[in-house]
Amino acid sequence: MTEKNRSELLQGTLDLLILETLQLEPKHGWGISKRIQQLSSDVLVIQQGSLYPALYRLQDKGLIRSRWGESEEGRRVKVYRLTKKGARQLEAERDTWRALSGAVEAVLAASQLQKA
Amino acid sequence: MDRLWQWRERLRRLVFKSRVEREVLDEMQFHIDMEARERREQGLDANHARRAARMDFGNVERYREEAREARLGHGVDTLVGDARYSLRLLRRHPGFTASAVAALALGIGTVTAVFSLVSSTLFGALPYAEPDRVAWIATSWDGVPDGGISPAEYLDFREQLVEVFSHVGVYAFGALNLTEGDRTERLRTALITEELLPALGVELVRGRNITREESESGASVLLIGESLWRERWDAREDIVGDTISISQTAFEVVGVFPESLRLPEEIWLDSGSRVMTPLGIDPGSVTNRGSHFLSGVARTAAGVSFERSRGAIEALAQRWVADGEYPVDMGFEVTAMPLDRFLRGPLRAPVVAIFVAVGLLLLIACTNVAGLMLARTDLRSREMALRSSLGAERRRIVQQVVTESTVLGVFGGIFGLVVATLALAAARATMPDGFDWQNLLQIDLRVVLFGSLLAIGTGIVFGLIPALALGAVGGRRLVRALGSSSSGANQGSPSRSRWRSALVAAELALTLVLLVAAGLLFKSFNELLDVDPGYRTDNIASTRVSLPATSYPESSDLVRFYREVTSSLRARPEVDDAGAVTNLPLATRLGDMNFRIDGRTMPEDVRSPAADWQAVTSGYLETMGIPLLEGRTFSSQDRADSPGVVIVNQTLAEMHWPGESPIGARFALGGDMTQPETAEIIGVVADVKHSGLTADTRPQMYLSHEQFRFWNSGRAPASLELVVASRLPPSSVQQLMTETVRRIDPNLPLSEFRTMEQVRAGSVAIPRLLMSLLGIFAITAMLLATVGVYGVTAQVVGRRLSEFGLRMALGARRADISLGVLRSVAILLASGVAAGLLGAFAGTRLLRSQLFQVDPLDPGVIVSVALLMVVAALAAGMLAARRAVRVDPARLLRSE
Repeated sequence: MTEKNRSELLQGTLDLLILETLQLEPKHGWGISKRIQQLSSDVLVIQQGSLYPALYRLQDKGLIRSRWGESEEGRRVKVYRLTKKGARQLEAERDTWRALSGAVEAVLAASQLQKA
Repeated sequence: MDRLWQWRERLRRLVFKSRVEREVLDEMQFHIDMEARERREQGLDANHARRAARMDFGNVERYREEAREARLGHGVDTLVGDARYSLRLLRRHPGFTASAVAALALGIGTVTAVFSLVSSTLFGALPYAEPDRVAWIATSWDGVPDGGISPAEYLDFREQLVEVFSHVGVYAFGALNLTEGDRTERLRTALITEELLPALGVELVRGRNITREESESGASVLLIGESLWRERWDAREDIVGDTISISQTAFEVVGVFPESLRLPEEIWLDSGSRVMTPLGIDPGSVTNRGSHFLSGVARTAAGVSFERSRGAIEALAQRWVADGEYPVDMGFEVTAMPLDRFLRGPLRAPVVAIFVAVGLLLLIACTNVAGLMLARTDLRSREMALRSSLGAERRRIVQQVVTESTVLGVFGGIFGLVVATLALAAARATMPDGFDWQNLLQIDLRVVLFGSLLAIGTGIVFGLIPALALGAVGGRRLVRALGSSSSGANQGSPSRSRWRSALVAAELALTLVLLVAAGLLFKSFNELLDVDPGYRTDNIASTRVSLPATSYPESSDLVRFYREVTSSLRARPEVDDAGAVTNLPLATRLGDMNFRIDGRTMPEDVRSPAADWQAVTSGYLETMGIPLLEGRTFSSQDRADSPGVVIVNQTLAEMHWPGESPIGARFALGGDMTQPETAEIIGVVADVKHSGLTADTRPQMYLSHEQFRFWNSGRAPASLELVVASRLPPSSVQQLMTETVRRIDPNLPLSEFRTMEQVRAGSVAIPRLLMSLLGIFAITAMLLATVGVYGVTAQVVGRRLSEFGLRMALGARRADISLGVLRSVAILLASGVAAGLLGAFAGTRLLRSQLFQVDPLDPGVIVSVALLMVVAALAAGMLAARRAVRVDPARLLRSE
């Protein structure tokens, strides 16, 4: 797989994960990053900085929106939340992802069989 | 709500760029601070904690940059992002980019270059005030159109059509000699009537127009052109009212007309008439309706429709005929047509044919580039599949590919404008002199606009093809795409190579259409060259000599001069023969003249005896090698005071004396307008193609220059074309003619030196141009199509290489393999040829008016160009197939 493809793959995945994280409650950037690490049990190692371009991309697509809020310590911080469009997109991507992973699963199982 | 916020946010990012930048940095800083705090809580010291947090975060600058790019977002900004992405991709594939841009630049450039001709000839207003109101008046005889107007007819138009035409003007062209010191310049002169300039709506720069009295009396007043005014009189303000000497006559300058003025026949020329002077049509002395040598224009009166004015002028002509103004039924008609149609009508068919041809070429170039893109996007098919499965909408993918093709189109357009500029410069340099190529072939705003729109439109259209082919691989096909990844991505999916094959078949079809068109024009042009003009074109040169009335006041002076010049030329050993004539065949239009045959009453149903006329000196017919069929030619015994004599052409003889000899018959010529009043036929000569190689030969008579006297001046023709038959090179002949003329009269200017070969070539310049252009287009198209065939075959071969290896390992012969490959080429060809033939059947009709003695569906042409294309395509396919048979089965199988 080329470098390009890997980053494309990661980009798509990261978008999905961000939407997933924001589904429960609005969060600031660091909170999203912590939550993703937590949810994926540290399997998906995402460089933390790559979160921010993704956030802007999603904002631009109208999937999330942001406002200025305060952190627990009272620092000014940007808080992101899911839009209606984002919620719909999340549903759709979940289905695609499940279909895809199911298919990949099937391929892998089949090749497993052939080997056996 | 969400959407509103989205747009507000986008606007904010555009307007408050630096603040948004700072916010991003703040946000990232917050993240790193939080991360560091967490490390500290886990027990690291502050320094280490901060370093670890930075490390985990990654390169801040890079993410800021990426965030900035992400912020560029959708809409216009996505376009910028896509364009930038495309630029990166194109830079990464310089070979592909160069060939695509080159093909597009060639296509767009040639279309743009041709468009400049279309734009300058077919579009835009004519350079007259309210050009829609200007009518061209023409007579026709027996359905032969574009005849001139006679003075008597003009006077009737002027007096009897005032309700429909506010102005009626007529004119003819002549020449005057302007002498300054020992230099004499021949000035192209328009002989005009007083209403000509108002009819065209031309305003003078200085002074006044000529008056009706001046026009009728032929007064020595002069309108001079702005350019001459600047050159000769330094644009002197007080030139109006001055008397200047031209052709040794004192003319009073009454006005200056604008430099841009062109009379209708001059409209495409690089310079118009230099001076204008009254024609001198005196209503008191004009009695006969013959002598149709004037050009006429009229301006419809305000509020009068064109149809009404045309109706009025046609009705007037019918009344003349009904009143018996014309002695016999000559099928005489007068019509008025929009000047625009008269000037542009004949150009439309060839110009449109060239434009369509070059459009086809661009289509072929586009198809080629679309094929290239398709081949290359195969490499990216998995990337596309992944992107689409990860949520990239199909629309986005199409948009990305189309953006890429548009970027290519824009580059193609930029270089295309360069190509167009160069092509036009080259064209201007090689086109025949005299035409206003500077303006006809120039890149103006309209052309640039057209080229730009064309480039962008082209980019979008040819991008849609690969985009749609790619888009067919949706998310659902991802698994298939992933599954095929092991066999390598660079050979493309079968469905896409079907797309490519379809593209190449389309290319072949378009190419065949162009080839057929070029083939037809080639055959037609050769037919044209085979036409015998009826005179010698080799080793004959001519030049025009005009004698001023002041040094040559009497007809006898004119006659003496030409007799002396021709005989002293003839005396030179290098000269075979010499003569002079009023109008060179194939170079000018002739006027016609009525005649009555003595002792014959014309039956009612026989059409008028009228014939084109030429005044010639003795020796002219011999010099031109026009064969004498019967009787004799002019001799030095035929003088002004001897009985009138005339020589007729074969067409005239057969028309009025079918099956018998006309020798000895007598003519009464055009009433009181000419001398001799009667003439005896002394000879019959073979026909000469005068008004064009393709035109029907008209009845024609040759009158002796010594006897011929003009209707208005009563003088012999003062301006003749001197023709010389000599084996010397043209430049020496020119020198010889100049020397001989100067020895007799050192002040005389000579102009329009040309060989008869040039005259003949000039008469077929447009067919030659059309043929050459279409030939070039067709050959380029065939090259592109051949490359296309090679490409698609190579692709098929590449994909099936392992299959071929296997088959050869199993005992298949090389011939079988290459036959298999060629079979796919043959299918491609068959569909291309079939579609191309349909296209040719439909399209060559456009050319019908440009073809001479060739049917638009000439089977010989169609079969031979189709064969040519089949052979070229098969050769290209064979070349590509070589790779298939060269394959070493053993190695190939091992590598699997």
